[in-house]
Amino acid sequence: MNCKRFAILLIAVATLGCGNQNDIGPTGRVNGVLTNKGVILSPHTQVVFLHSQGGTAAYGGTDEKGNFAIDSFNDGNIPIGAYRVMIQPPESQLGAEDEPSAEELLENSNGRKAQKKDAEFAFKYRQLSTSGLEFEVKEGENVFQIDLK
Amino acid sequence: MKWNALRGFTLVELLVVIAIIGVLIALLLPAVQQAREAARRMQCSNNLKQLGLALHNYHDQFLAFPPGSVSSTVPRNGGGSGNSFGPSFYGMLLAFFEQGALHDQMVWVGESPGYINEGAGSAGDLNKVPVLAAGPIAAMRCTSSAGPISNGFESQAHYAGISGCAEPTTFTESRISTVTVSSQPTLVSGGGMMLTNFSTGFHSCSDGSSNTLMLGEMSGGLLRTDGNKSYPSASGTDHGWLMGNRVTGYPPNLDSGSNSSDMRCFNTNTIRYSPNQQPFAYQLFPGMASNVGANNPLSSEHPGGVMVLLADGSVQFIADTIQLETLKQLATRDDGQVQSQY
Repeated sequence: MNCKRFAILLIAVATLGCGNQNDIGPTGRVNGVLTNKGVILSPHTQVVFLHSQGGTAAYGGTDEKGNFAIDSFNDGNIPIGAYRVMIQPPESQLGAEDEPSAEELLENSNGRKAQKKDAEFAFKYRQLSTSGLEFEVKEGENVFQIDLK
Repeated sequence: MKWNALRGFTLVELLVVIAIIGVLIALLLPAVQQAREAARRMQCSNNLKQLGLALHNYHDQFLAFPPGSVSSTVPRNGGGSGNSFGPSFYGMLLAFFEQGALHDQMVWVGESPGYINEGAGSAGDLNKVPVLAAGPIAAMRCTSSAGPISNGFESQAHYAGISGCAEPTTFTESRISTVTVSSQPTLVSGGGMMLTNFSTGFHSCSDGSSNTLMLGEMSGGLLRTDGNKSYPSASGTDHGWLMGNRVTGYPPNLDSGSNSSDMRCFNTNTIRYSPNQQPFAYQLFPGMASNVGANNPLSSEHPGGVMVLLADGSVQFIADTIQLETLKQLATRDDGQVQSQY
C-alpha cells in the first residue's frame, strides 16, 4: 500500500510543471462589429489588434454582416491590457505582393504609386499610429463596436 | 562447462540489449542536437561581435559609424532616373572584417556600385564578378539559418542595421519616412544608429551605447498566411548584402527624386513588430514585404529569440517575448528612456 502511494507521489512530482503552459497571465476574448460610417465593409476586412506595451498581435476577419472575432492568437485568448487597432482591406483589394525589382523600376520608374483611394475606408486606419483606435481588453468576453469615420 | 561456453546469446537477449541501446540513443540525441544549436548560436553571436568590432574600428578611423546604406549620385541608365544604388554598410565595412581583398577588387564610384545586375559597364556590373566569386561571407551569416544563400543576386546577409523604431507608445518618434511597398505603408525611422544616408557616431547615442541597438538578426523563417515560409533577410528575400538604396536625404526627409518612386532601403530595419512575429503578411501588418519592407520582424532559428549587437559592442539574446516597447526604446538612440532589464 505504501509502495503504491509512493509511486503515485513520484509520478505527481515528476509531472509537476507539465500541462498548463499558459504564462501570458489573464486573458480576454474579443469580438464585435466593424462598420464605416454605419455601413458594413466587404467581408474579410481584417481587424488587427496589437498590444500597446507587449506587442502581442492578433487579428480576425469580418463576415458579411461585419461581425469579427479576434481569434488568430492562442485560440482567441489574448492577454488583457490596452490595445491599438488597425484595419486592413481584404487581400483582394490590395496589390499583389509583387514588389518591383530594380530592373522593373528602371523601365517604368513612375509606374507604381500608393493605391490609397481604392480602400473602402480612410487610409489612416491602416496604421496603428494614425488610426486612433484604442481599446482596453478586460478579462472574459469583450464586445467592441468599431465605427470608422 | 563446455555447454556454457558454446551457448552464445539468445535472440531475446540480443533484442533486449539493442532495445536498451536504442533507448539510450533516443535519450542522448536531443541533447546532442541542443548542443549543436548552442554552438551555432555561439557562432552567430561571434559573427555579431566581429561586426561590432569592425564598426568600432571604422569609428576609430573615420570618427563616425558607417551609414546603414548609401546611394550613388550617378544616375541610373545614363541619367533621368534618379540616383543609383550605393552599397550597404557591409560594403563600407569590408576592409574592417578581413575582407580587404574583396574591397580592393571592387569599384565604389559610378553607376550602382551596390547593385550587381546593373547594366554593362556600370560600377555594379564591374563588381559582379568579385562579389559572386567571394560567395557567402561567413561573418554575415547565422549558421542556424535554414534560409537560402541567395536568390539570383549576391548572398544575403543576416544582420540588419537598426535604424530606429516606428509607432512607439511610450515616446514620440517623428523622424519617420513613409515608403510604400506592396501598396502598404512601410515606415523608415531615423531614430536609430544605422540610418539611410546618414552617419551616426558615439556622440549621437545619448541613451548610452550599451542601451542602443546597432544590428539585429534576420535569419529565420516566418510562416505566411498560405502556410509557406519566407526567409526575409536584412535585404529581403531577393537582393543581398551589398545592396544599399537610391534615395537622397535621410528620415524624415527621404526623397526618391522626381523620376523614381523606388525608396527601398536595403540592409537596414526599423522595429515595428515583435521578433519572430508571424504571419509574415503584408496584408495584415503594413511594413512587412519580401522586397523589401522596412519593418520586417527580426527573426532567427534560435529557439525563443534573436541575437542583437548593441552600440558598445556587446551581443545580447533578445527573447521573442520581450515587451515590444522595450525593444523600441532600445532601437532608438535618444528616446531618454534607458532600459537595463530586458
